[in-house]
Amino acid sequence: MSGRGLPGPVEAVLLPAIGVGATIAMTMPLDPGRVTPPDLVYCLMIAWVVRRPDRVPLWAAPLLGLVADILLMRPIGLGALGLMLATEVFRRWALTLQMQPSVFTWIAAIAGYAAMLFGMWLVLGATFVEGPSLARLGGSVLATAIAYPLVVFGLVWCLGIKARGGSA
Amino acid sequence: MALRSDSPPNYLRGVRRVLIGTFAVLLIGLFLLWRIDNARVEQFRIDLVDRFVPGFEWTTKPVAHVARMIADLRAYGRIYEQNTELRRELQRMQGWREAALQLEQKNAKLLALNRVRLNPRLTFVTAEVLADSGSPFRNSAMVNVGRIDGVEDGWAAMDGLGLVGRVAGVGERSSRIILVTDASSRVPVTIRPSGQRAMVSGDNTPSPTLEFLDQGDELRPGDRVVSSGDGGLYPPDILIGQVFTGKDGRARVRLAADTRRLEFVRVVRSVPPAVVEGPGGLIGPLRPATPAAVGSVSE
Repeated sequence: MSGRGLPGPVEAVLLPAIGVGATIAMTMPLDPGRVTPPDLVYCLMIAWVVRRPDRVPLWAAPLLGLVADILLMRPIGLGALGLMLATEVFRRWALTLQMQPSVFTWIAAIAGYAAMLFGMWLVLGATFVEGPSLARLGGSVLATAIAYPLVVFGLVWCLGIKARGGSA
Repeated sequence: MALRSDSPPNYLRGVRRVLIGTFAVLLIGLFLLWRIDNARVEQFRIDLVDRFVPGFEWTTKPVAHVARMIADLRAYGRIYEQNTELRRELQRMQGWREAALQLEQKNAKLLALNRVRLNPRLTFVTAEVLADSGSPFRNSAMVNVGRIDGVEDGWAAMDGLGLVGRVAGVGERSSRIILVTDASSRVPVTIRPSGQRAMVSGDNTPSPTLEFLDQGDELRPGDRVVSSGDGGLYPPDILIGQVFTGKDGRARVRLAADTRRLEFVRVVRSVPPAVVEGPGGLIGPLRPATPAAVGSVSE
């Protein structure tokens, strides 16, 4: 397997670079207000950490989350915290998930995303911040569910980020 | 358990756990700081965005262009219906044009009679939209004018027709506009023709709600909503939209501005109205009650 894919250092730089790129992509003025864009950074982190749990550095999730929080006008720190916790949970499950069919990973990732948003919504409510409605967060979950397979496709087929265990 | 062989040894796991805990505490602290001292953290955010976002222009522009092209392509599908529709509309508009011309002449005559001076301070800076918020937490847009163009916090932003939002956060070369559809947006308004005062408050849907109405039964669908200028937040008489009843039965405003396809906005340079304090020089200074003063007056 070591012959395929990218060398370690390149991979370590690639993840943050793509993450920042994805954040910029989310700020593009396509259709403000109507369509909720998918959370590409979340898709990227989860898809990567499930395939290469030992190659995703610990600081990547909080850092990328913070960049996304700042650029996307989200409550600062909260999104980064959610992303980090989700990444660590999936890092722990990675070896188990690799043995399941990828549809299962997809469902798990979306359930994780919904749980993360709901948690953020609860925290915002508890600290009296006027947050988005649950319906709008639902739209975000849906968009992310659609985007996740595309991100996985990009990672696996374009960059060769595959699981060490064998199955893609 | 061959898969487990490349997982880190035990002591490394402990270090990881401590690191995760540290990050979590730091992030929670950051969130609390944002919650408590919002203004300062938001200023820090806008400074960072100001440093980076204008550099993205070369990426955002082509993509936005392609998106617009696709949207236009979709319109080709129903070009025939559109054509007839447009022709009908044109006919109606010609009638309106005639009326407008007559009104313009009348207006010019009346202005000449009145010698009205229009407020020269109500000028604007035109800005291009660079980016939107990209997340469901805010409805806002980033524009490419900033402190260097004289933009200040709180100025109103319009598209060609109606109010879009207000400036919230100014950087050196860019600033952020909170749209009227954002959940944190409140605009004091007057409803024409009934003259009622109300508040247009956004709820992250395309049409914000009307709140704090005196008499809801005087409200008619199609009534015009304009800013009232109360509180000095927005200049008065900027068109916002028309009243309609939403699906949930609440009075809402159909915005005159097209907030979904913002390309350019006008940031209205607003100067707070002069405040009258005290009698000024009209009444004159208080006279001293001494007889010496009386004597000096009689000289």
